[in-house]
Amino acid sequence: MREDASPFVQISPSSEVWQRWLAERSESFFLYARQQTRCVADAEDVLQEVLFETWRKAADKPPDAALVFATIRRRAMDLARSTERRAVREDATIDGTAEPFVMPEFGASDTHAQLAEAVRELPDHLREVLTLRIWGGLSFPEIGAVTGVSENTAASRYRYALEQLRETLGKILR
Amino acid sequence: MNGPLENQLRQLRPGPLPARLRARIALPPEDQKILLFPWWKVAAGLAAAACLMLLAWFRNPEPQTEKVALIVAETPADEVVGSPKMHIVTDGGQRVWKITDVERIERQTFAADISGMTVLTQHIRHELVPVEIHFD
Repeated sequence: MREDASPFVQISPSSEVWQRWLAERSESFFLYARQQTRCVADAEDVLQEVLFETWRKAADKPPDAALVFATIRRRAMDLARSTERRAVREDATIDGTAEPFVMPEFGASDTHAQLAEAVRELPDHLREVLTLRIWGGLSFPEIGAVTGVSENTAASRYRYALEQLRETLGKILR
Repeated sequence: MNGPLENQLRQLRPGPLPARLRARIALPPEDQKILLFPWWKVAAGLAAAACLMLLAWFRNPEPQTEKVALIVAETPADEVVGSPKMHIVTDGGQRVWKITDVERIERQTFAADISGMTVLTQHIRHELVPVEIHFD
């Protein structure tokens, strides 16, 4: 039960399943939402909307991860078309409130920090596939369905992403 | 097949959820609806409204009750402000009548001992007064 929830409010039995699902997947969903939107505030709005929508469609059980990623992508594109709202939110990106895309485990080596930076600097289409594969746990057919490309293209982009990371890390570590 | 680079990538963690978003999605949608309609707040609001009504009723009892029960003084006043002569008439015989219009103001003052409120009422009355004129 949420700490600030009223004792008079009866929490549904699905709440526990919801909490477990969020604990497992929410950070990877937010990572993807953050990459698909222009600022943290947009990512929050999109993710909340998508989580609720997909949860309802799945009849109060954890929805398929690929469906959630695909819906995040679609909603983010819809939001980007709304230029008026985008203009308002652009201010939020300037004040340094953006969360890091990925972060190394506490106490990890410098290589991990450099790897995180290298991921951040990947081209969008490569980073998207890498994110869905590594942190989203999707298969290449699922990644193809989410991003609207073929399975082979998704796999190729993934290989390009890894090659580019190796190249970047090689320059750093050399 | 996972290479060493992929294993290293998996050791990176996505950034944490912002606290604001974490609070917004803390409950599934159906429980969010319940929270959006907090019955306990409605009940507390009704209780507070009832208390305010009681307080207002004690502080402002109905005016009629005070008027009837708490009047402590009544000061009548009567003043003739004018008696212009209207005209002179005869009754067909030897008598002649002078008709005057007497204008009189009647004032009454009521005071309530608790609130100190004073009410002044004023009535303007006109009365036609015939006075017979006697000739020597």
